[in-house]
Amino acid sequence: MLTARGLWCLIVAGTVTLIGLTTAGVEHPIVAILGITLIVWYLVERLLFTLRFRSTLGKIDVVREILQNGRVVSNAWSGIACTIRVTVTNRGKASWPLAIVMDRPPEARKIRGGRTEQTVEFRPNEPTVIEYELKSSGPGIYRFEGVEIRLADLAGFFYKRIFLRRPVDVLILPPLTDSEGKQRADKRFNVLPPPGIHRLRRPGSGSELLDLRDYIPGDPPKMIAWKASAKKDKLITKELESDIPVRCTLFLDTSQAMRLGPVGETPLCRLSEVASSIAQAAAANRDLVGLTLFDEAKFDVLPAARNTVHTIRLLSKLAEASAQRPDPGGQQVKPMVRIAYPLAQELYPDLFDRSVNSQPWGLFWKPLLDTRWGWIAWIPVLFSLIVNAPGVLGIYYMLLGPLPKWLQSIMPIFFEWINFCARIVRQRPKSNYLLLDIPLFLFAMFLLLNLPITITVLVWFIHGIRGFFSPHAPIRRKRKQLGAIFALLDGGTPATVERYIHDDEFFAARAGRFLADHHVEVPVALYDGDGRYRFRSESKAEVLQRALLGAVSRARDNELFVILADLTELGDDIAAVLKAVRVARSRHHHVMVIVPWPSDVPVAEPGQAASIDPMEMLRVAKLVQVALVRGYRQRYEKLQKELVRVGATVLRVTDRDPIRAILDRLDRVRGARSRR
Amino acid sequence: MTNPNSYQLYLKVLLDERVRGYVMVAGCALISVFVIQLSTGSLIAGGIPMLIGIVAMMLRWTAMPGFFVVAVAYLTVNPFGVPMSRYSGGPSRLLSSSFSPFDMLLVAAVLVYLHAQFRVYSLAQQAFPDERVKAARSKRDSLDRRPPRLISDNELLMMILFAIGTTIVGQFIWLLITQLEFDSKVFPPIRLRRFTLDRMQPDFFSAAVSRSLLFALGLSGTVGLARFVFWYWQIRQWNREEAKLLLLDMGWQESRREFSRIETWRAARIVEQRKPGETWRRIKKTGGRIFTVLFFGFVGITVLMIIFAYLIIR
Repeated sequence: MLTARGLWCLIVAGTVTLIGLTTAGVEHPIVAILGITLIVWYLVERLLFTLRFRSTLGKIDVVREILQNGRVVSNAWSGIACTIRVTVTNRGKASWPLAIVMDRPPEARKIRGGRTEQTVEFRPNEPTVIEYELKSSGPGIYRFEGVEIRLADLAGFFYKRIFLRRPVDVLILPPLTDSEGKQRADKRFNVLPPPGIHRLRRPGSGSELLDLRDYIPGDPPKMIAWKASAKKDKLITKELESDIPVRCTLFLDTSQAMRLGPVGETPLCRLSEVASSIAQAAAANRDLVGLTLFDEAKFDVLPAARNTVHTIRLLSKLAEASAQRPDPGGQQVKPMVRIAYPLAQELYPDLFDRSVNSQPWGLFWKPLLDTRWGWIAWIPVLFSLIVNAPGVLGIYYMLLGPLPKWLQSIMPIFFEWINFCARIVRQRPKSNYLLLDIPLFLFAMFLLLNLPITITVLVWFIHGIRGFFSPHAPIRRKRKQLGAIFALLDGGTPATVERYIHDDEFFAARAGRFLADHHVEVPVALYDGDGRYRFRSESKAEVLQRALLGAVSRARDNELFVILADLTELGDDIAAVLKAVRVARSRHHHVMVIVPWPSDVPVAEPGQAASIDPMEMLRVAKLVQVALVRGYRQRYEKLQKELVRVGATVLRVTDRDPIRAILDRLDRVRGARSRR
Repeated sequence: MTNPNSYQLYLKVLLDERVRGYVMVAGCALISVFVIQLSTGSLIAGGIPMLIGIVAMMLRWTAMPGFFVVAVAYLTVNPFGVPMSRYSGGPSRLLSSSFSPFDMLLVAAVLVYLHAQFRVYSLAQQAFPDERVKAARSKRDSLDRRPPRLISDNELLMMILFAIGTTIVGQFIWLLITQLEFDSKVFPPIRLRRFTLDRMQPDFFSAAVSRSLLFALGLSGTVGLARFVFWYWQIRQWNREEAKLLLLDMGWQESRREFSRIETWRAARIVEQRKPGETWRRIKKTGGRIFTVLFFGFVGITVLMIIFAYLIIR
């Protein structure tokens, strides 16, 4: 609460008062009066500050609104700027002469306009309005933690920061149809198939003629094509097209590898946008759209439907999926503390108060005896006890009489030991003063007899006291404070707090979750301790297989399955997916695979040789890059070949591909399929 | 690009029409101090505080107001800058020390100057402390100031009235502690001071100690009471999370020692299970090295001592 400025003023006032009251007071009362007046000033200022603070605390209202195109909305849209308006009102009775009201903007989001903070006089019932603009390039979530209010007095003696926690997650929905947020106005070619041709031609009970075939006994007579029958001189039956709309199921890969990258620019965000566009294009064609999100462990199905509520739900699911961040994994404690501690201090300043989150001295002491090898310390203690035993036995003899026989037999050994020590001590220099020599003799004897225990105590002390110094003390203090807050948030027990202090992995994992909950970026470890790439998840192929087979089993008509996944990195582990695609194709479903293309891998047509300066090839980094690019392209070509072989269509999506181009390509593929 | 904390910016704020009032009031207070101190007959007594005040205002040295108070106090006692004994009326001076017009004016002027100076610092330099860690700070980061637009019309007047009020309260307190004295022979041990010329025998408490004790007692009583009231108010205002954390923390404090032992063993066990021999490696790597050296050093020294002693005896 007290600032450095206030502290120095208090020290000066205190010193002047003390001098005035004691030494200079008699002859120069003005010194004491000056000091007393300064202390009175300080006390009154502090009293006013505390009164204002206490009477305002808990009486501050925060209202947050998201505006898009001047209208209040509940969700934002990616690619369109939205205005955040926060109204903070002091409902207390006290007025604050100086306050900074700041809305905490979402992590890793750039402010496009306006200001997130206002310096105001915080008067009762006078709202303070903060407005700023945000724009997200991709779908995800805006995480608003709350409003920070910093209070100070006019002289700058006192300061207090409070944080009004009002966490709100605002979904950033994928853009409507194209990346510019506009409905597709132009028509590159017929989105709807020409009259009489259905996109997925199969016999049904529609009104359009599909085909003519030989009559099979049991066919209804009304379906006989009489003219054709007359021409062929045999019964021919008409087959009509099915007019049931196509169901399109999107499979979106949300695995860890897809979440890598800057916020709003991950492959997952890109594919979410594509999925959103496909869903909206399909809905525009009166098709039903479903969504299946899958990762390395599980899949989540949103059944196909066609109404507006369903579309919004689908977009929301895409936004939530896009907001997921990769598991930082294998983090060390220190880097996590370095990121998590300031964040926790910012968001939970009230929970860092020593009255509720204490730091006793004992927290820093490093107990030697608790360590695995601490028992060694008992050996010198035991040794000292043994060498001091004759003294104890002597007291026993004096008080209780003769010793037991077995003790009597070993007593000469002890006497020999004491005699031995005494002979050593006698070698010490002598002062010839009896009064000095006797205490010196006793002290030397004591030291010799108790040397081991003295050294042990010294070692125990040095071991323990080290905990009070850097780097042990600061990290332990922070771990305790953070651990208590984590335990509070999770409903933990005191044992959990202690575990956070001692168990590095447990702490690092929880700190990682804490940061992820607050959408804070953590440096992600790409490789594990053994140097393996952490994000190669072959298990997602099996999950996708299960999801795809499940969709096939639920399908009633020919359906369109669009798989938006990074399958390139799976390499030879694609077998499960191929099997599922083969099953889908055998049931006459259409399967389309859309693969995200990394931005750092140049797009090249198959067979196109890369022209690289031979001199550059001498650089190891360039060589590695070329090898990686070539490897990636080869894997993609192999994947494409294998998927095409089982009847799926493969598309790749680069960061630069506009959504419209993808849709056109998609439509072309669908059209081609339907016009087979 | 202009440095947001540059001196030009500071001067620009000083010349702002709203801030100018504070600067002028601070200047007037400094002149008042100068004139009052000049009445002691020393130019140094008046000049040095004024010089410090001007430096504080112009060069934005935030430690200067503290030095200003110390200088005023010191030069009041020693107007020529060097300690010399002066007769100022003896104990009878105390009787008339409260509500002396010169003293009141001096104290009020000092207080007004301090008020104005610190408010100018808030307006032109920094109003809120920077809470960021040092590594995250940069000289180019703009410090949080109080915008001059927030200065209300009656703020200056209120400040002066507040300073005068504080001065009067200070005088009352001085009057109180000079008129009362500590006396261990009576109960309660406070009584009215008697100023008589025949009091040759010193009391158990000297006047200075008595004044100090009275002031300390009053101050600690007031502060203690205020702290108690605000402590209770704070507890009443605790939110659910704070109360839960308090209970959790108390539980932790009670059982910390046991849990610590369990967790130390658990951590060692986990490490040992994953990588056998890791505990020993960690012990060697961290503090265990010191322990090992000391332990084996002790064993070695003891053995050497015994051998040496044995050789001497032989």
